[in-house]
Amino acid sequence: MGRYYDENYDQLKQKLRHMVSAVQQMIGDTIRALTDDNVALAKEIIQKDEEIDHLEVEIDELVIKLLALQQPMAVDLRFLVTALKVNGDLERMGDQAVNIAQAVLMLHDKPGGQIVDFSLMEDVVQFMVEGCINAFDSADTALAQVICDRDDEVDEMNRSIIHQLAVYAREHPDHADRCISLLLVSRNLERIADLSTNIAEDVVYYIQGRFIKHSGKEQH
Amino acid sequence: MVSGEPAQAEMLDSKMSTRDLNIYYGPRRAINAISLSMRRNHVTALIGPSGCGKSTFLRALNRMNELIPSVRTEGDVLLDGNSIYDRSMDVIDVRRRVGMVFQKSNPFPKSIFENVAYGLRINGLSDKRVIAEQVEKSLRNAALWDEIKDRLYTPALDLSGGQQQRLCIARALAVEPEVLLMDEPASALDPIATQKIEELIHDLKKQYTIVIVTHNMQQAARVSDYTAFFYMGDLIEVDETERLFTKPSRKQTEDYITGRFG
Repeated sequence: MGRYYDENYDQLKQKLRHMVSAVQQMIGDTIRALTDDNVALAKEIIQKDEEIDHLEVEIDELVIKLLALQQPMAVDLRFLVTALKVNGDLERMGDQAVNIAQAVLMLHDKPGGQIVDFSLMEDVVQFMVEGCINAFDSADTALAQVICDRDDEVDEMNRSIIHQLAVYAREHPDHADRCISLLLVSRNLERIADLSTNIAEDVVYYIQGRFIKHSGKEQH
Repeated sequence: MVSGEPAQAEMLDSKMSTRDLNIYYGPRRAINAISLSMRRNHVTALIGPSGCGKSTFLRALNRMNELIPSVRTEGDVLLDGNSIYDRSMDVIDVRRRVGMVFQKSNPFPKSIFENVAYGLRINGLSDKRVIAEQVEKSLRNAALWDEIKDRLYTPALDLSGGQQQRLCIARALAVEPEVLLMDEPASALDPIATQKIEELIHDLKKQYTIVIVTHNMQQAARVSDYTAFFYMGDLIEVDETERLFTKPSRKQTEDYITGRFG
């Protein structure tokens, strides 16, 4: 049955979709800027952060309004709490993309070859970002679980890249600055994967009302 | 019926419980085989749309339905494990042990003092000092004493709506019941008076077992420990309140508490 205040929920969903596509595009662009050493694109990404911040506040305000005025229960309550958390996670993803874009600018000023290959990590991270967003949009807990399961892979890639960079920096001390920037990029990609996992975990809470956070143990 | 694990486990310190309770108005069955336990010193809220049977169920808990000629009751209601419908049970005693507060406050057209003392007198108490002590204690327990201690002998009907309702609670408490049944006790009150009643319920459960019918789901969520959802005479679901309002097990409950029907 439709409810007279459902349009408020529709409005929130629409704004969240807007946020999602903005962040998704930002992360795709970031990875492209990194791969292609594209300074202009990196600068665009840094500017886009303001739009994301603005959207985050709008969504928070709308959720708070609905919590206060509708006093939601059950699935409505779980949806609003999830929306609030997903919103924060998306904004932080945007921040990580900005960090990578800034690293792209620094790396451009200090040329020195590829050193490490991010392509595999980028693929998994992009899969996780898109997957968690689709899971939220289509209330798909199976997909959410797949996303959670892939987080360890990214953690492992991050460790491996840090190790490679440490070895390289020891052998080429004159490239230490470049290695540090690349290390931060790796760390930022890994954080984006973590945030995707958070969103996927929150999707499971939204749909099923159970917490799967922290060491995969179900909590009540 | 679906129940949460600890909520209805046989029988976690149950003060009152019903067993396969059926209630008929003439040929029409209004309550369908409901078995529900109400935990000692806890608040159980009954929710559901109008006509779902929650008030009928509540009235069965102190045999108030017997005052309606066409009502027939089957099954059983236990108070401390003993049937309140047993022939050896005195109905007056049942109603003393299981007190009731109604939606509309209904003080007698007497003084504040006499309203509370009335039940004591008809229970055979005549010692003025004991009566005065008991009246004060009841008014204190109903969080009304400080507001009216200087005008105990003024008409009860001069009190505000919220005060009248607390007076009725004091009147119910005066005869020292064990269980307090409340049928929408705050539905006619403003938010401040409502909050006072809710705070009172919170305090009273230390001494009493409380069963409350309410149409206000936020109120049920605030004041109760367990919530039972009734629909068309059936008990659809009962669970810890926190769980029922965040993650109900049954779709009918979900639809009702999110306003998708009812």
